[in-house]
Amino acid sequence: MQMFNYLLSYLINNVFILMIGMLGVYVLTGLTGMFSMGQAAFMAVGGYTAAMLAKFLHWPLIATLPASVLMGALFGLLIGLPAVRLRRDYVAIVSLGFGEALVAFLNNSASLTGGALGLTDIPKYTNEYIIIGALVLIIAFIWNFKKSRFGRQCIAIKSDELAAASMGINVARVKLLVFVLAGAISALGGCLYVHTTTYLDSSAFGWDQSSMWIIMVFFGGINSLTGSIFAGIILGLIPEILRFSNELRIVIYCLLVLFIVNFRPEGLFGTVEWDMRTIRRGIGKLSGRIKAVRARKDVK
Amino acid sequence: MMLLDIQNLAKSFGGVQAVKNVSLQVDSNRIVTVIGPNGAGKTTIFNLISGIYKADAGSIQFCGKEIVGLPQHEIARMGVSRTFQNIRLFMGLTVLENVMTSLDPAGSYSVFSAMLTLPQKRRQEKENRNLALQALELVGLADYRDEQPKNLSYGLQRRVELARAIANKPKLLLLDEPAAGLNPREVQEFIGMVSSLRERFGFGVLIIEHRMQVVNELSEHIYVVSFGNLLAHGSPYEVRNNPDVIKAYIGEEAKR
Repeated sequence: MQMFNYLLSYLINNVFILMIGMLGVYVLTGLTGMFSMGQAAFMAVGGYTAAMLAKFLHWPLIATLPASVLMGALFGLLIGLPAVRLRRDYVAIVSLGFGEALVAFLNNSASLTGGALGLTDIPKYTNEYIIIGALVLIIAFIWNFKKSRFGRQCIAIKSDELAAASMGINVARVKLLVFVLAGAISALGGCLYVHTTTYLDSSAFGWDQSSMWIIMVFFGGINSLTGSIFAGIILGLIPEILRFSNELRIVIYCLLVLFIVNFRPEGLFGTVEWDMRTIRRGIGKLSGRIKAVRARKDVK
Repeated sequence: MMLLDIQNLAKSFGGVQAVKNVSLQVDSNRIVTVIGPNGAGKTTIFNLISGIYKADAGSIQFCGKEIVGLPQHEIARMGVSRTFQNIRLFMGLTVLENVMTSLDPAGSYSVFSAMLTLPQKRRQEKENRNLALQALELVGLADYRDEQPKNLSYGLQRRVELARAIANKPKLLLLDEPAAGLNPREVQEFIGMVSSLRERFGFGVLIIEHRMQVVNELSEHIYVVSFGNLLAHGSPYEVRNNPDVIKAYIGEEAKR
């Protein structure tokens, strides 16, 4: 029971917050097909914005939250402007460079950001309900975004940029919009992160965190929001569950990812969303099969 | 005024002159075909019209406006729709959603409206869904609306592409080898579909095609391209009896 309570609190306070950052990657990589190897830097942008405003200027959450979202969007625009004209493999390099440069900048401007020592004593504003509420809201926003003209244009661009443009889709503009949106989402995750952990150092937002998010999105299914959420929870919890054996957990983790990539290159759920429609269809199929089995037994 | 008026178009890639000097016209409610041997520059002409490449010289006027140098999506929004030689449907979207993508760029609701599913989004989604369904009905695919395109046969995928191209009511429809890979029955169906769509919408149609059946049954005017040059143009009868054309392209086919 204690273990369960611990895991639940870990799930909400760590996994869920990092998952908000991952959802930025979902919008960029899963939906639009642009690899962002520096998405964690947007989380740092949101985190440092919120941390400094709360610590030095004593702003409340209601002010630091929109401020960090705005900063995330602004940085998304800044990176997006040069990146949208590039081929998608170069986008990965640009975003990687941006992420690493930003972390280095934060490390070296010690007077403001505390440098490598980080910032401590940041006011704790969040509780479990705020985190869950924020996560659910963001998931709902992204879900609606996906099921709209914007989501369809994103998937079209991911699938075939040339054909998308010949449908009249303004590819550069949609990509820019997605950069801004993803930046804002990840920055919001950063804001919640600092107000939950109450300390902040830049090493948490390197490329390894960004690539972890990409693994999650691919693991869950490249088009599937519910798949990404599922993968985010599973891959976020596994290292904690396997804590008793440090060597084993890395092996199991890697094996899991390798299996998925090899045997289900489309990810666990592929393009399937676990919405009511899929579930209803699944139940329909299952009950049909049960009826068939029963009918066969009756004949016998 | 001509719907599409191309004058002295030229395009080269490095040292290869893919299109040297081509002029052609398409009027509304007309079906015009471009034929020519492989590598004659036909698809390049299409890519120049739809803005994938920028012409080196010459002009392309669409509805009286110069479109050379405009980005691809603006040309598309002016009313130029196209299909591709190798089918390019969007994977990850259903058949209906594929058709809806051609209506989406002109949509008017904002990102916030999209994320909150405000009434404006609901209304427009419903409208576009109906328009896309109508387009699918016109090509006889309404039953496949929720399928993934990769699960459809090649012939049906071609029809999805056609539905996607006509859903936004274009003024000019460009079809790049629409009958490639279809069996004889499908070709016949396709011919009927294109001519009935033309009658319904009155758009101009420009087709690249190899199959003489399609060329003869559909086109009212034929342009023959060879090595980037315009060899001849005229009615199917005139072109068939043009000695240059027989020499360059049709050969035995015409003597039959």
